[in-house]
Formats: sequence, structure tokens, C-alpha cells
Amino acid sequence: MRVDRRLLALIAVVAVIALFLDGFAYVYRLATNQPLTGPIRGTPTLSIPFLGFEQQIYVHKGLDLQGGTHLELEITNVRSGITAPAARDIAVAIIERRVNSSGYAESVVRPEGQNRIIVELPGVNLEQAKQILGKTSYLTIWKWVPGTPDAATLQELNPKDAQKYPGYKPEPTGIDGSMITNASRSTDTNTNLPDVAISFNSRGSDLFCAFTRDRVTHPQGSPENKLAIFIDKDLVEDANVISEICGGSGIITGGFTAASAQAMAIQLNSGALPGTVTLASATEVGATLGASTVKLSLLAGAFGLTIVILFMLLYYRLPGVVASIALLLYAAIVLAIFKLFGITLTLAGLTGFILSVGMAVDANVLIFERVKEELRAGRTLGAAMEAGVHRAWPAIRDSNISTLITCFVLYFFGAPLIKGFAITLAIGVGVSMFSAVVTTQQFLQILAGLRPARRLAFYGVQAPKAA
Amino acid sequence: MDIVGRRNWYFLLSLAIILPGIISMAFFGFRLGIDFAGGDQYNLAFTQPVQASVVQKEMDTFNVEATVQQAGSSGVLITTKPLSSAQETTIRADLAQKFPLDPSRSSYAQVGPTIARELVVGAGGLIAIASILIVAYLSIRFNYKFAICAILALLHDVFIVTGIYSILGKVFNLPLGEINTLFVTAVLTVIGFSVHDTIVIFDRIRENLRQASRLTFEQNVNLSIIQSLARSVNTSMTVVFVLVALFLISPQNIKGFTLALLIGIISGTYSSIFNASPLLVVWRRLDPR
Repeated sequence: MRVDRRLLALIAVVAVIALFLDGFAYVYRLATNQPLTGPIRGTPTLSIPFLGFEQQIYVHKGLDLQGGTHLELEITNVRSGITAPAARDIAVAIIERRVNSSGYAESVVRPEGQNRIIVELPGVNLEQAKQILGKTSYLTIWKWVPGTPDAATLQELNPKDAQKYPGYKPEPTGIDGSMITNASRSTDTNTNLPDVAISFNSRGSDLFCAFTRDRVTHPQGSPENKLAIFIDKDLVEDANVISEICGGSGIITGGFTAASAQAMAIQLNSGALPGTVTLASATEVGATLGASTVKLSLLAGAFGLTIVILFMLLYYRLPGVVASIALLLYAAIVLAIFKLFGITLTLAGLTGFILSVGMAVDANVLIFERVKEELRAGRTLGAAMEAGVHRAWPAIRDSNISTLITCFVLYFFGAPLIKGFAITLAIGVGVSMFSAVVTTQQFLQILAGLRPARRLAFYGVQAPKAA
Repeated sequence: MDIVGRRNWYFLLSLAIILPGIISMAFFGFRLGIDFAGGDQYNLAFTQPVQASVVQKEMDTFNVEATVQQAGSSGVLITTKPLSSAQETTIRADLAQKFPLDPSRSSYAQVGPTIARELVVGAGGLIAIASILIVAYLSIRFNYKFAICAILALLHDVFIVTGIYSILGKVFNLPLGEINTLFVTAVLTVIGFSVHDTIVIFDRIRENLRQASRLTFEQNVNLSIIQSLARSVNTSMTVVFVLVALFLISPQNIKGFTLALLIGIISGTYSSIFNASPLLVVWRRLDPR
């Protein structure tokens, strides 16, 4: 096996990309004319327009590292007529609205399992979180009539939305979310297109019947034909009315895609949560506590890497230099992957990463021990290195695959905290295999080709006595 | 060096550590964290030194089964039964008023009973599923005897860690020995490391067996252990160094986690050298096919 130029080129390309992503915050600061130190404005985003690529590049810190509140909510007593997962999705949409309208950045609201919702609010304490979640949003239906909105309307609604059509103003219809008993996505039996089925209580039914009967008299496309749905202050839907809707239930059609019909149904349901939402678990971490955990982990990481490099240099000499370079490259690649794919780093995740550093070192140790053996057996440097990598490979493969099996099980069946651990460990193990069999191996081949590097003492081996 | 020949001594040493642990687990069980037991936990930091006993006295007035432990000179860890939202708010306001609380360095966690039950079932299940899949993979790569010996070594490590934690938490009543989600993560890490270690030695045995030699199976296994000893020790040493550093500097709430990792990694290295491979020899003797 000789030095493979294509593999070397691959290593170089990967290294350059990884270093570029690792240092991306600085590239971003330069590109946006910001000073290189101090707090950063905006989120570093990499966009390559002709590839349609746009991605935020930064380390996503978990709540245990940046401080904030993590809540797990459970929905019970689901309203009759809807399934638990449907109720869960409606509740997710409602809670998402409440959280977003409170203006907290980088919050996460996502479904978990059959009837759970996970809410993550960075930088928010538990009391604030409870207030945000306890807030109810208010759905109202309006119509557009000629005129200009007065001060009271502009106060009640978002001015931009209230002035959407010049020459028209929104006027209340008296219909609100409390009158809607259910809304769901359905399909038009004639055209096979998605639409939204809606049902009202008796009062809502009467008001909606009169309202739609009046609206259909106006030409299609005119603002006066439209049904405007506001949630709190924001206009969320502005649909055409095609026919009158009486009798307590109706269908809203008109240019929906499956997704937009689903969204509309969820919006219509937003008045009230579709069941009882209770707090199943909560975790609150103070901001300084999180920051000190990060500092601690970085310290441990730096300390660990230093010890490993020192040990490799003292014990394995020249190959130790190779391993150290391979390890640093390994760390750079893993960090770049975390940033590029927005992997959320938690304390458990950092542990997975530190463990994977141990496994990356192990692959190098396995190779070097084999190389030493081959050298002691009297092989030439090039042959010993080739045989070393070759013979260490089955052990590296089998041990890493069994670790990946564990990661797989943890990721698919584990609790959220354990998932984070599994992802970082799996990424680490995957990259460590690349690092050992491509990077270390190619660097060793380069060494074997250098005349000054051929003294066996550089490898911690005494020259075999002539047999 | 004859490791395989003295195998019974090594098995005995393992038993001497595992048995007390099993007895403790059977009679006393575990000191469960709120992740598994359900409940509320305040990890409070103060701007001045505060005695846990003073906080305990204050908490007793709420009648919520609170236990207060000292965490550093100016910090306490309070564990209570599950609190209602209103109780939680009242207690927090009361503590903030009576003690020099520093909210930005404090943390709080609440786990409801349903979540706790799921976690307990889940943790046991994960270890079982992972073990079965690893046996399947190793049976393909080696054979089922190797696979089962590797799993026995893995279970050895799991029992050592959980046994020691049962003793720490229940016999010595130390908060360090608390079983929580982080502890489960530590055990899972140990499993990964243990199998990893065992496979490296098994790979050597597999390779040596393929080469025609006059060595008996027993000698062959012993040779393989010796040949991979440098690697086993070197790799474990680097990981142990990192973990010792982590343990010494880690804050109270994750010390238990790093200690579990440390015990498990040392046990994993020991079991792969002194248990897994010698077990192969024992099996071969009982069933010499």
C-alpha cells in the first residue's frame, strides 16, 4: 500500500471544511463587519444561493448548559371526537403560538410519544414559563367592510393586518373561538381536494350562517367575500367564502394544500386546548450554573486531550505525533458536524463525545501496538505499517460496530436525555473510524516514505538482533 | 505471566465485590433520585454559607417530606415528595425571602409519577435489547460462545456498578449513590466500553486460533491476553485519567455520574482481561467440542 493521493486530497478537503465550520463565527463576524470579540449580533448563517443551501452554523447548547426551563406536558381528558395524537398536535400548535407571541428566542415545542409535549424555553425560569403556558389565546372572526380602521380597531388588532386591504376595514362578526366545537382537515368528495370541516354550537351556528350568507353575495376575490380569522392580534387566515354555511357544521374550501388545510383546522381549534394539560416533569437550570458546567466540560476536555497527546508522544514517539494530529483533526470534524447539523449538546452528549475520544485513541493504540509487533518481527517500516493497519482493522471494526448497535438502541428507545448521548457517541465513533483507518494510515505511509523517519528508535522499538 | 491458570482467583475477586452488592440490592434496594421516584428537587446556591439543618427546619414547616443535604458550604439539595404547582411557588418564595438565594446558580427539577415509572421500565429494557443485539452480532463475527462470554463480562460490570451504588446509597446513605437518569447513561456507557474492550482481546484469540500452532486453547487464550495487555492498559489509563479529573472538578449534582463511569470503566477493563477470556477456557473444558 502506498500513499494514496486521492485519500490525502479527501483528508485535506475534509480538514479545510471542518476548520471553516469550526471558525465560522469569525467568518460571519468579518462578513457582517462586527468586532472579533464580544457578544455576536444575529445568528451565524451560511448560505450558498446557487445550491439552495442555507444553514445556521453554531453550537446548539442544551438547557442544562445554557440555563432555562424544560417542561414535559401531558394531555389527559381529551375532548370527545378527536384522537389523542390529534389533540396533542392541536395543543402543540396552540402552545407554540403562546410561546412565540411571548417573544422568547430559540424556544422549542414538539410532540413526544402519544400524548406528551416537550417545551424548552432557554433563559426563562419556571414561574415565567408557567405564565406563558397559562395564557389563553383568543380567536375571533372578522369581516372586511369599506372604510378605514379607527383607532380602537388598530389598538385591538395588529395595525399591519388591520390595514391589509386599502379602503377596507375589519369589522367584528361576534363569532369567537368559544363557539367552535371542532375543526378538522377533510377531503372534498367531488374534487378530492383538501378542505376544512368545522362545527359550531347553536349560537355560533346562527351567527356563522348569517355571516356567510351575506359574504357570498360579494364577488369572489373581493375583500368583502373573505372570512378573516384573527388569533389575539394577528391575522392568521383570510379565506374566500364560496357558499353559505348553515346547520351547525360546514366546509371551508378554497385553494388549500393538505398542509395548509391542517394548519387552518389547528388555527380554528386554537381557542381552547383540546383537553386537560398537566405538568408531567419540569427542569429549571440557572444561567450561571449552565455556563459553569460548560466551562467545566471544556476544562475536562482540554485536560483529557492534553494527557492523551502527552501519553501518545511519550509512549509511541513518532507515531504519537501522527496520532495527535489525527486526534486534533478528529475533534475538529466532530465539532463541525455538531455545528452543521445543529446537534443539541447536553451534559450527557458531552460525555458521549469524551467517551468517543477514548475510542478514537484506542483505534490508534491498536494500530501502533500491531506496528510495533511487526517491527520487532523484523519487517521493514512500510510493510510493518501496512500489516499493522490491516491486522488492527477487525478489532476496530467489531468493537465500534457493537458500540454503534448500543447507540442505535439508545436512540430509538431511550428517553430524550439518553438520545442526546447516543447521537454524539455515534457521530464520534463514526468519525473515529474514518480518523483511524484513513487519516492515521495515510500519515503513517507518508512517514514510512521519509528517510529521516526510518530510525526504529522513533517508534519505541529496538532494532531486532540479527537472527 | 499466567492469567488463565489463576482464573479461579480472579473469579473469586469479582465475586467478592459483586456479592455484597447483590445482597445490598436484594435487601435495601436503591436510593432513587426523583427521576425514578417522582418528586421535586431544588439544587439551591446561596451567596453566603448556609447550614443544611437550618433549611431543613424551614422545610419541615411545609410538611412535604423534605430532606435537605449540604452541597458545598453555600448550597443545599432539597428533595420533596411531588408538589403541586401552588405549593412549589409558595416554597420557592419563602426560601428566597429567608435565605440569600442566587437563582442564576440554582436549578430545580420536578418529575411526575408517570414519567418516573416509564423511565424505570425503559432503563432495564434498553440494557436487555442492547445485550441481545450485541450477542447476535458477535455470534456472526465470532461464535455464540464468545458472544455469551462477552455478555457475562458485561453483566459483571453492570452488577459491580449497580451493587456499589446500592451500598453507597443505602448502606452508607450517601447522596453520591443516588440512581437517576444520568446514572443510567453511565451504565450504558460502561456497557459500550466493556464490550469494546472484550472484543479487542477476542479478536486476538480469533487471529491466533487461525494460525496453526502447537499451543493448546488455554495457552492460546493466555497468549492473546498478554499480547493485548499493553493496549488494554494504555487505552483504559487515558480514559481513567480524564474521568478522575472530571470527578475531582465536577459539581455535586454530577459527581455521582462521573464516579459511576470511573468504577465501570475500571471494572470493564478488569472483566475483559480476567473474566471474559478465562470464561472461554472454562466453557471449552466443560464442552470440549
